[in-house]
Amino acid sequence: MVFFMYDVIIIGAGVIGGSIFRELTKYDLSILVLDKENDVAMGATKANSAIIHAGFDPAPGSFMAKYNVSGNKMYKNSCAELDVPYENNEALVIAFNTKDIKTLENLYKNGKKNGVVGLEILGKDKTLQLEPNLSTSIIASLRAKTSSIVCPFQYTIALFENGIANGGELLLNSEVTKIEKYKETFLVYTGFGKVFQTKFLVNAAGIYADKIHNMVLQKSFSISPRLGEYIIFNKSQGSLFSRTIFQCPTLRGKGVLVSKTVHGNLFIGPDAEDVVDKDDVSTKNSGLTHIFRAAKNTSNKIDFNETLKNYAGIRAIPSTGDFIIKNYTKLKNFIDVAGIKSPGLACAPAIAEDVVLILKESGLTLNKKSNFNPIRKRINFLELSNKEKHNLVKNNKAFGKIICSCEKITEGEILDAIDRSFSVPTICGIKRRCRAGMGKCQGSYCTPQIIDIISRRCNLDKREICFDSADSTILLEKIR
Amino acid sequence: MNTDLLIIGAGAGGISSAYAATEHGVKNVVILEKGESFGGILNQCIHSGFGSIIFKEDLTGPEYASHLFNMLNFSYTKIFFYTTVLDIDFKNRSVYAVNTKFGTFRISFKALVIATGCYELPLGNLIIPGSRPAGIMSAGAAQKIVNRYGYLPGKSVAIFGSNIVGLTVARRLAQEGAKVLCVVEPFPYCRGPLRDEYLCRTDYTIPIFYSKNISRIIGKKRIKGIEVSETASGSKKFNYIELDTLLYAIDLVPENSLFCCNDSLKLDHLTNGPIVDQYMQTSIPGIYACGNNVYIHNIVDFVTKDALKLGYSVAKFIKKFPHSFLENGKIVYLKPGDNIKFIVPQRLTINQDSDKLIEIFVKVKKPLGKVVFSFEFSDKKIVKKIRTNVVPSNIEKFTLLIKDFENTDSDNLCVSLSECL
Repeated sequence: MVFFMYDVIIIGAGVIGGSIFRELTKYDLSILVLDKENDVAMGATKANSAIIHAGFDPAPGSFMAKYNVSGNKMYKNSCAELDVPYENNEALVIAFNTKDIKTLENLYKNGKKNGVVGLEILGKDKTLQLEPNLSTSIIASLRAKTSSIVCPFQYTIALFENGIANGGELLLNSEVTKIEKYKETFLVYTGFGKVFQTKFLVNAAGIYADKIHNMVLQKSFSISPRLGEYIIFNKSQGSLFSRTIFQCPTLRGKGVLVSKTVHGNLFIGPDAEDVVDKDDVSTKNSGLTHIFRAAKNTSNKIDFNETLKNYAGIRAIPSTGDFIIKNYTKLKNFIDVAGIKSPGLACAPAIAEDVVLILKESGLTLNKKSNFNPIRKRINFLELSNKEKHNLVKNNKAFGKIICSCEKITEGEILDAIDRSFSVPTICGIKRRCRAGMGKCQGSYCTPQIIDIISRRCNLDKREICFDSADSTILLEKIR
Repeated sequence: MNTDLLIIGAGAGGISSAYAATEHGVKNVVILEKGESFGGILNQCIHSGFGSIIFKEDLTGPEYASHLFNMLNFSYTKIFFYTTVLDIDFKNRSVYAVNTKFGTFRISFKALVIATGCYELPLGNLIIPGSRPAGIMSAGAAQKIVNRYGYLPGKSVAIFGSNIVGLTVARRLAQEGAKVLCVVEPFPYCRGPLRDEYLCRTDYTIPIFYSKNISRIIGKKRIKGIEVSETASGSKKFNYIELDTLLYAIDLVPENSLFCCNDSLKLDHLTNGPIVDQYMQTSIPGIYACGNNVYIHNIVDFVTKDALKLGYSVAKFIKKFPHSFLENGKIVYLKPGDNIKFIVPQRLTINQDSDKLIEIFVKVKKPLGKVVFSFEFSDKKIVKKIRTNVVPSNIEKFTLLIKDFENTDSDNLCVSLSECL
């Protein structure tokens, strides 16, 4: 048996694991992240509302309220450091009747208690002035100026790329099967028979955080899956609203939203359905119909012939009602970061800072690295100036060849996505990194070419190339 | 860089346009092609059935492309491959493009032909519940993978949608040994050519399920099955079909992203392509369009015929450039009536120079038996034509006499359709 010794092992490579990982790489430590999937951000991080919520929604005093408001403030800076698309586009919660207005007033008060700034209640005229494509049946809105949008999986990929550049390690395709306590440390067993030893263990395993917890401690909470469906639209619909539009929240969630994305598409969702299977992200007719109807109430201007894709995400709902972020008196070096449901994305950077504090209090020695580099860069051909584009092609011809003609993604960007620090050369892995295949034809045109590029760059037979998760091969047989 | 005529796309429309223009005396033509070679989509259409109208021969797609290419006058025509146009500046008459050789560059033109073809609508254009695993791709992508790369995407395949690509790929996969289980078509009729439908059913015994829909996609890593509902909308009853691959052939849409955001180039929302006149000239003088980015043609020969119509007009425009931007004469708009999906050209320019005959292409919305097409101004009937067994996949062609457009005060020519009982 091979033992590798680490200061900290984090289980789970979602936005929470990634945020903690990058935060820890600021210190002189050996850190490892383990994830069962073949890429980061494969759970709730991949399919959620992509909103950095303002923080008017969570109950005052909860972890959710605390981390939301502080996390929201941290995104602008971290997205700038990590070169991730982010926009402080504001949000409106819209009211259709007097009951909704009561809800807006409560949200406003709640937000004030949580320390949210930039909240105001607007009348009908002012609301429609800000968002003229809203339904004229609305009568008021709550404006939240700090609400923002981000690309959650690109953000998470960037967190890991930056953490790895600063000395951290990531091991994918490594499902944790067993954890043993050994003296003051843990032995973490993965599916491939590898064992890793660590002084501190952070459980950021998302929907499976209860399973990981139970490998170490007595069962004290459970995480249940709640499905949320979304429909994404062509960019032709992306300029209908500049703000994220929420309907009033219900007991089951924040209400169906209509928002543009940082890439200029429009999307609607989610609904909320408690399900049994933690891995099943199939969309359901009932859910899709529900969000369609709800979005039609928000606006009748949305062209429903312009849909590109429907998909669903699983949210990790904790039995305790709030995030579970703590270590245990009899086991100080094990930290649960579990049940991170909405607004978990907004909370992630603030949670990461606190987890580092908990680790420190539990005895982890933190010495700041002098050479920590917070900057991570990516190449986006279309965003460059004409001169920069020209120079890029002159230096590397691959940037002169457009492969995805909908999104204008070059071969250079696809090769860059393959060559990055942790390479996930699948169709979806590349799509998440550089958006090839995310346009109006959804890869109908460029998928064969991307298979060809991966095959050449990674020296793989085309039959070995996967669509997304491990073993999801695309081409079954060679005929010539 | 500058040129008299710039053509975007070296598919059938682009090459044919270059040929037509040089035949009419244009001496400086540049074609920009995003792919590695000329021919566009013809390159993956290795079956025969092309060219019977233009070349009086039965050709494969690549052969048709080569025939066209060999007709080009290379003293006057330059082609740049791997060159993608990023933006068209209609006002200053230039495009901004990128390729591996020049980096990014601008090229000005006097006249422009947009021949960018079409794209396949994604599966997500329809709201189908279920999972999103591997084993789902467009029929066009599958065609490329089989014909160009020599791989089979799957062994047990269903096709969703009966358009021309779907029906062609269904047969191609069957030839290569895949089991093609069925074609599922939500509409009650075939959306591809009837000949292709016939071949699928008879030669390959591939069943086509009309008025059925896919109500769920099942499978985690790779697709395992689909539920095919009994009706096109909302039936609870379904049949489960086990398979390893689903190809979608929902619809082809004109590739209009280079000009759809431009206010001066008017789009026809029925075709999703630009509004053109009988010379394939768009609403901006000197800007032409042809091929599948005007409307989806079912026969490539008609793409070439489109292009042949623009040669004379392009040559005349370039000769007079920068003067005389607009053709003088009367403008007539064609207005579609009930049951008509679209009419091309949407606009006619009538003057002494006009050709004596004008070809009008009409697509109907649904199959009809015996019908009468009436062409009439508010104050004058032009002509009635009887057609039998009209179907959406077969675009009806009509030839009108230009002299019939005289002696009317109306600018709108209504094309209406009535069933003969």
